[in-house]
Amino acid sequence: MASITLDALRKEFADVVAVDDVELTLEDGEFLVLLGPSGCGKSTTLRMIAGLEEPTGGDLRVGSESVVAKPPAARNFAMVFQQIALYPHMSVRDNISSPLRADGIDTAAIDRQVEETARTLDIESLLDRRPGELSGGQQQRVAIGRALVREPEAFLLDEPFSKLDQKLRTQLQTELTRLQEEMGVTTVFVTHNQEEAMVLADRIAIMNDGSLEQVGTPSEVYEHPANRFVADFIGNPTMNFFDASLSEGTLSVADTTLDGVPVEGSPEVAELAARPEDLALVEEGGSFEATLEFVEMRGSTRYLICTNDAGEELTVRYDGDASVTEGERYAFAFDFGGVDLFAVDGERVSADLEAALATHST
Amino acid sequence: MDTDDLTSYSRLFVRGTLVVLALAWLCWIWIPVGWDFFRGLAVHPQTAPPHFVPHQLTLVHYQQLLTGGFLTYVRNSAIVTTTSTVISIVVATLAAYSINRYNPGDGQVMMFILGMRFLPPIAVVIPLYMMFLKFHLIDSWYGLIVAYLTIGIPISTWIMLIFFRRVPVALEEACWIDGWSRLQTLRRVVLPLVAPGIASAAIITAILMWNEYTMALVLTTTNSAQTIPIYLAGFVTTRGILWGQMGAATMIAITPIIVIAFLLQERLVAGFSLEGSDG
Repeated sequence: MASITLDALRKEFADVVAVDDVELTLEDGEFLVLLGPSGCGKSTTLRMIAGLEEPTGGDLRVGSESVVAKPPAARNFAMVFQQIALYPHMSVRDNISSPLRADGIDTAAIDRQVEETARTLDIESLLDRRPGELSGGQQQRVAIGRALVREPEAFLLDEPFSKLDQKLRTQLQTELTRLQEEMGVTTVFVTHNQEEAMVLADRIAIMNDGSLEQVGTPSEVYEHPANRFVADFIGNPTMNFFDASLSEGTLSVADTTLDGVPVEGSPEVAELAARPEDLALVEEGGSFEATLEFVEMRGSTRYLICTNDAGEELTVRYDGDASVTEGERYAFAFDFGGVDLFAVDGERVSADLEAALATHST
Repeated sequence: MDTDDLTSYSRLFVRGTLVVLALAWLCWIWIPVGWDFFRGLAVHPQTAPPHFVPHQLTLVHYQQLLTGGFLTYVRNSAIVTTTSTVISIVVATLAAYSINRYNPGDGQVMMFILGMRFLPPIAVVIPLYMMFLKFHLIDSWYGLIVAYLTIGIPISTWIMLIFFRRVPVALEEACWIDGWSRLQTLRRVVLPLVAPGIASAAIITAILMWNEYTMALVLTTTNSAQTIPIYLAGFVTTRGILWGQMGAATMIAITPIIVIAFLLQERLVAGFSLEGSDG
């Protein structure tokens, strides 16, 4: 087990840059989720780490040793594939023991380790069956077993749960987190599902168009998205975006202004992004008005889906007790403490809105 | 309810039609075989008008065949067919694997390989004859084997390619990740999964070689290399067709093919049906 460093790792296919000089260091034992929309280069990055794809440029180090020239078999990484990829002509036992037999460990030790892994994953009774006789969830457990059975330098998982139903996915996510913590193995998990990323990750690396957009803990990327792409991608329901401008310390958005905003330089603010919980339905003194289209229930939380005068859809979390009527116009206000500002180029503008609010209240 | 009846009727109709067609097809294939079978057993195979089932049966034609040098031709056929099939399958398996995984020339290689099969055999065999003369390969097993590889390798490569396409690359990648080398992966994962393809390619190639006539006719001259089809053609003489011996020889000639096909039946069916092999 060791840290893994991606040093300007690059992959080009013909004239397409799939992975564009990615710089990333995984700490020993860390659970990192590579998150992004399909085609963003996250799977290619994982496959380069595994040795299944040869980088066009850059370096990959395990500890301090470069492994770029090593074939997959010599890297001692365990991988779980999206296609599950169990050997259909072998029993579950032979599937799980495959990495051990490749190492040439003696049979008694192999049997012991396979039984132990099977017990951990609750698939002992399936050992003598063929993969074709198992359900999707059982197959994925076996695939995880094949990865867990040895002590690899790292676990690499490529959207392993994408074909499973929600309940099974949640169950396997929990088990995976527990096993990963117990074993303390550095893990890279690729997914396009931001909720899955939030649940699993120590840190999330968000990719778009082959580049890293932001790397941070789940709460960092949620609370402080580095740019408009991350803001839009992370969070469900998604963020609400408003046209905004900032000049001489005065922020203008919708029908309201906030002055005394301390800001460095003169960034060209284009948009304000507010999460559903950063907007509130108010009796009076609202920043804008919108028509309530319908109320969406998510568990115990209610969201108001509204349309503003420009016809844009907005989502507002509603914690109030008063009943609301669909089709009515309501006033809404910003909680400036939680919103984010983005410049014309999509980058985050750091401006201390809370400081501005504080001066107002005094 | 009504639509259910309708679909079940139309399904029945389709099934019935298929059964009738299959039976017609079977007759089309087996009546000539039956004809040969009974000629081989008939005391007077040339009777006119011919009886499909002769009145008197005898084994004399088989006896004449076995004492008359037929076995030399069977031996030639067996050696040439077996050797060229084995070489074809080994080369084709490796070739198809490489073509499938590395896709050289964006699929043009496959067209190039198959392109040779578009030529009439006679267009290939005349230049071969000229070359073989120089290399002293006329009328030898080696010559015939080399000639047959020009048919066997393309055909079996093409068949094997269909089977390799159905083995997901992820299975191989999983095997590399497990720590096995490329060659070990081929042996442990890929070959077992294309085994039905190997069986299909082998039997199809073997049948083609066993029955090949044009090349054998041009490239062999004596019984030191001539094969069964050449011997069979010899029963068409200037004084008529020797139906009895021809029927008997045909029966002996088709027996090994039928036996092998029967033994490999399950493999072949598994091979031809698109049974999913992905995990």
